[in-house]
Amino acid sequence: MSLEKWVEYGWLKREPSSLNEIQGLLSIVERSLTDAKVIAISADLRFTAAFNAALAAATTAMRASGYRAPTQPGHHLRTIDSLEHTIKASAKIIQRLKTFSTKRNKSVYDVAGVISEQELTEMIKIAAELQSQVTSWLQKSHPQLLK
Amino acid sequence: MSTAHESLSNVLFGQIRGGVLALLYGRADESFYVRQIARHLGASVGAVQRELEKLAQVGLITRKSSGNQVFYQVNDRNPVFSDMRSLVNKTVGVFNVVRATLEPLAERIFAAFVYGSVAREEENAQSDLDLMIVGDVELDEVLSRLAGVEGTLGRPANPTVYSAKEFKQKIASGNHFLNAVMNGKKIFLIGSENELRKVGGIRLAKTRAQQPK
Repeated sequence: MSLEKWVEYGWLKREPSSLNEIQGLLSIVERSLTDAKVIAISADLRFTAAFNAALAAATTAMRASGYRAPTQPGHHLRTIDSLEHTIKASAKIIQRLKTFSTKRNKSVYDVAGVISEQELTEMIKIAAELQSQVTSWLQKSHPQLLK
Repeated sequence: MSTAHESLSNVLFGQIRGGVLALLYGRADESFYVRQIARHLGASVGAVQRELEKLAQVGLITRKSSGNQVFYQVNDRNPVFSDMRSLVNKTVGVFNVVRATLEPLAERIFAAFVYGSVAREEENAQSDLDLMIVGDVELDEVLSRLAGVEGTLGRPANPTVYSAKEFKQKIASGNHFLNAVMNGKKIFLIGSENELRKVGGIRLAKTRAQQPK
């Protein structure tokens, strides 16, 4: 398992998860996705909510696999990259998430109004896709964490 | 970022040599005559001539006479050809790479341009390539195309795609980000400043158009 190498590099820590933790993470995914669809708030904030949903989905898969990414520079990107090893996500979805990670940083910290309609639509689509992929992967690989 | 600092490409090649290299390496299968290159770069014939002679002397480019014209072409048999091409692409030649990548979508694009640190020639190794596209294209197809050239670019591309309608609406609503982009330095890959302003419903008299040199 390749994530074991990441532990050697000090990028991840081994830590078992629990039914309770996974339920909590899945509810963050669900809540963030719901928030992302609220038309009344700005596109920037909706985009961030959708990105958070995707990130929480990736974190769910990582935690269910028994790893945690400590908060350090680059841990978002690492969490995104881990999707390749956890749910075997496609290179395309990982690349999209990385691009959107940059956008999310810009929209949160640098400039207002950077998110376009298409970006928001695409981000919500990816987050929903990840939510469903992670859920079905949990059912198959870790049913004990999905009661 | 307000302190004046030289861009990587200028430090490595100087402005005119960088321009010559970008053109010749960017279109490696074509040959050019001096006036053609000078016109392309907006530089003097004498200055371009000097650079071409130096580059030919060290074997990076070849010089061929045909009638009373002299043609210059990049020398793809030089041992450093592929390394140079990669270096030039990553520094001065990125615009050629991105333009070629978007070319198949050009019919549906009003304007595509690079803005931000790369356009201002203030980029460093960490800078993204900020790209804005106004037209009838899907973000998805743009991202897929760009994914294929990010390796060549050596930096991640950050594309923003607007439909003409959304672009116009955002300009009209005084969107801060778009205003900053419109007033900043832009390198046009497809279309021009004028076309962009037309699409955005910006009257030319209101803001002075900034044409690239």
